[in-house]
Amino acid sequence: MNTASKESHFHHAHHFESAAHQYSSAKQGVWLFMVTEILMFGGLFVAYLIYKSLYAPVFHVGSSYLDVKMGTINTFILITSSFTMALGIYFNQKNERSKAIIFLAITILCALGFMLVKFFEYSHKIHLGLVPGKYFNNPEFVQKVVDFATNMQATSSAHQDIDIAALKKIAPLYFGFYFVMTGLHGFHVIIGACLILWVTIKTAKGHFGPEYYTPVEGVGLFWHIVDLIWIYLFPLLYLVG
Amino acid sequence: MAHTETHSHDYLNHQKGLWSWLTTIDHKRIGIMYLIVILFFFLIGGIFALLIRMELFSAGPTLGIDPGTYNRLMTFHGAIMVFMVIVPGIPSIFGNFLIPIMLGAKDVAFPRLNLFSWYVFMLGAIIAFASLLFGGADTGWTFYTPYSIRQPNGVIFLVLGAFTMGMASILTGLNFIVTVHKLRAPGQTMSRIPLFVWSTYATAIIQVLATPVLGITLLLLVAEKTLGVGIFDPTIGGDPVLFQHFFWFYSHPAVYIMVLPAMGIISELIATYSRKTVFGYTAIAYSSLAIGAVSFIVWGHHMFVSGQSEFAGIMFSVITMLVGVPTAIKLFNWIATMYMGSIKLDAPMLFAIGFMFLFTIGGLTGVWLATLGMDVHFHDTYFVVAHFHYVMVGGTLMAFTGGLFYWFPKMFGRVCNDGTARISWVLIFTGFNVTFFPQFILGAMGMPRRYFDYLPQYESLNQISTVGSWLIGAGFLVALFAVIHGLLRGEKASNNPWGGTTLEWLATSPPHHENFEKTPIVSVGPYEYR
Amino acid sequence: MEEFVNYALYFIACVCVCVPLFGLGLAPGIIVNLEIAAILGSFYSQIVEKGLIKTLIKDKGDSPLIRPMVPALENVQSTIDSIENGTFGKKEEKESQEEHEHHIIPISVYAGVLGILILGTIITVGVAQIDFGPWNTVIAMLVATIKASFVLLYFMHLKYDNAMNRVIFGSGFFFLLILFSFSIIDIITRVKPLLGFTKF
Repeated sequence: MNTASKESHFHHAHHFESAAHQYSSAKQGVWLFMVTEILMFGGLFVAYLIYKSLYAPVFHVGSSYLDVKMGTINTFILITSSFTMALGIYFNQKNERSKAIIFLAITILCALGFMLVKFFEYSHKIHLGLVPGKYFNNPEFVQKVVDFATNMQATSSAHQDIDIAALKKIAPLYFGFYFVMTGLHGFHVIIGACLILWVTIKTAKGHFGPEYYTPVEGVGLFWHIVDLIWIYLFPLLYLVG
Repeated sequence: MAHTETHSHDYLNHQKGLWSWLTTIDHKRIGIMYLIVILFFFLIGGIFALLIRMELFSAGPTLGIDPGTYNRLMTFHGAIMVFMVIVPGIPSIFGNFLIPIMLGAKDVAFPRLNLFSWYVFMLGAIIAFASLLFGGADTGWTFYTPYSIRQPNGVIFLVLGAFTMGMASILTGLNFIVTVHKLRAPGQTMSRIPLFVWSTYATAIIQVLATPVLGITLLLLVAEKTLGVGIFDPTIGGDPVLFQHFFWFYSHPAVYIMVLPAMGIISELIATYSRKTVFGYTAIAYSSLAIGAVSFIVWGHHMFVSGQSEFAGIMFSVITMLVGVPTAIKLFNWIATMYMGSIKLDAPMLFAIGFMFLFTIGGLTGVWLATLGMDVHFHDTYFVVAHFHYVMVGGTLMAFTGGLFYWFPKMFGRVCNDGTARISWVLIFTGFNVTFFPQFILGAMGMPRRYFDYLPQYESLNQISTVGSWLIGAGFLVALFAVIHGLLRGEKASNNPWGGTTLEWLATSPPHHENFEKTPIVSVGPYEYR
Repeated sequence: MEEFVNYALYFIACVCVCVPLFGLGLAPGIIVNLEIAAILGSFYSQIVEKGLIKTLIKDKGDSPLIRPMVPALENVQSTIDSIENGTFGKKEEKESQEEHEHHIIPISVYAGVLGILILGTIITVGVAQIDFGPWNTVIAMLVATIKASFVLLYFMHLKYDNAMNRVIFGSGFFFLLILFSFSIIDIITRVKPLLGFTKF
């Protein structure tokens, strides 16, 4: 921490006692913000779990309509991007600017890759009419839900009171959840990519070094949260069902 | 930045010019900016209230407005007061101004974020008001589904405005938590911070934890309206009660966001105007946290008749009884503080005593509403309206006004005329009781709330209530006059006109732009009157 | 101090949840133990705040009753002090909190965590091919939580960070759990509902 990079103009803000004081305060602030992100997405997860327990056939069939391969690819992309982000911070801590820039840039590329895969997924679904609510237009999906539910009714005595008509009406809800949850997540991926671009540029300009890399770490925390949310989103939407 | 440095080092004169205010990162200036806009929003919300009461003056149409317009007035009165006045009010104004000074710090932890919150707040207010251009909203400020799904697009703007203002609330809360954790003066342990800081700290925790759930709820409502997702729409199979669960998960803790800082102000006022250390400092401090914690597990008491299960209703009713305990602890400790104190009945103290009386009534009637069986009768009647106005107006607004007169010398370096302030108190206190006490009776008699019209047997009490509203309006106008007169003609204030012992009274009036020339070192508790 | 306050906050919330849920005769023992723990916690905070032990030693240290207890009391007091200023259990006093926070995790650790995450993903996808019935969700969430923990502890530095950040993060999940559990309690205890609410 004694090596100051040559171009760094860093001195801590006047209301903090020291750079370390500012750093730990900034981190605490970022963590508090991350809690709000968890609670916001968490609300969506809670709603999803509640409806899944109520309308299991819809969610079972809906989940089978999602492309597990694309979802897995996206998972690998995001995990890797988390790794490269951590390295971006690492090389800033070690004052190795060019390596930091490389890994931050790779992180941005991963983000873009994620959005590209997402674009393919979305356009495929829109093409098939598997869209939320009033724009939904895929009778085959509804039929599959009905078939699954009828099957459940026939094979299990515990499921005699399944309301098939209700299931037909609520079927599009699955894609409502899909688009809102992955859409909000994708929105955060884009914001994250912009933030990473911002810190990459600042790294290139030499604003960071071992004595000051707080923004990189803050953005890193945000990016890891985005990854974290996907770690839960992927199995819940694509795999369980 | 167009500003001129002057000789003066106090924060008001340190830099001059509108641009220096709009780009300030000084927490004191940001607090003043919040004060100006919130007072303006309070004026608008208050005018809507007066219009509502005017319409309710007699059975049948009084003002010649149609029911839809009445419902819009009612919705906007609620939404403005909740999201633009009472939730941000005390934390963003007094919290911003005072917390760093009370902690001996130079600013909040994240000054630029503080300024950014103000702009986000203003953006939210603008979006909310823009809703009026698109037909407004007539759903009530609670936006219950499925009605809010069916209504025109004005709802979307009001909802997005509330979402944005919620973001400002989160950022403010975040700032305060880190400030309290990290920026205390040397020697100032958590058990030496003023009780106003404790309650605002508890409020900030609630803000950070509860508001995001409101955020996602409102986003889902917008998705429901625009895309027809089906999550809350019963005709497709969604659950409208789920909306209420999500909404009240925020909105119940929100009412404690509204009231906890007010209680913090009361602690300060009682201590100063009794010239005595606060009785049971630790108990009051922890009770703030306890109220915050319990507030998260009681939200279902707003939903007893909504269609939630009976079991859930019983559960929420029982737990809600718990929240009265920490609140009562505070009240008893304030009374014990006053006992054998050297009491001075200046205007701020009148507001504090008024708070204690009115909040007690409001709080106790809350317990009646928490009782499941009684709520079946009282829900959606004027009893509920009277209850929450007692706690929010009789509680929070009383504390707000008292705090404004109390800290006015510190904030502006001048003293308000105490006599004028006391007159405003008499008008507000009297008017408040005349307005809202009859509403308890109306509610018990069965008059429903949010209704444009009512049965003739309710008319006389409604008329009394409307006359009371004029008294309240007059009272707040007198208070405004006292403030403006104080700003323009008030005599200069000393550093410590009331003899307070918390750190802000060590600073100059108005404070130096960095709060203290030298960082104070704290070695005793905050209320050492010896 | 603020850590204690935060822990106390969650504790109070736990009690408030447990009393109505368990108080219906299911686990009074839990309630009693929690109450005792709460009282002890509050007593502890009184001792810490008011320095009762210090006052006791100072004022009454000479009395024949207290004198033999003084060494033990001083021991307790120094333990309390070390908890309060965060040096409890730390042998080296040089290691300041701030240096701890600037702790740099080596690349090898990051790479190892990446490997674990990739493995975890493969496991998740593989396990999803087998149908465990109602346990599907639980298993998937379990694996996800393990992966998430690695991201949190290593990529996000929580393992080496001060406890407050861990508490802050944990609180998010705790309150989310409250939202979920109370909502689901409502839904599963409703009488067989009308259109659309089919029970499985």
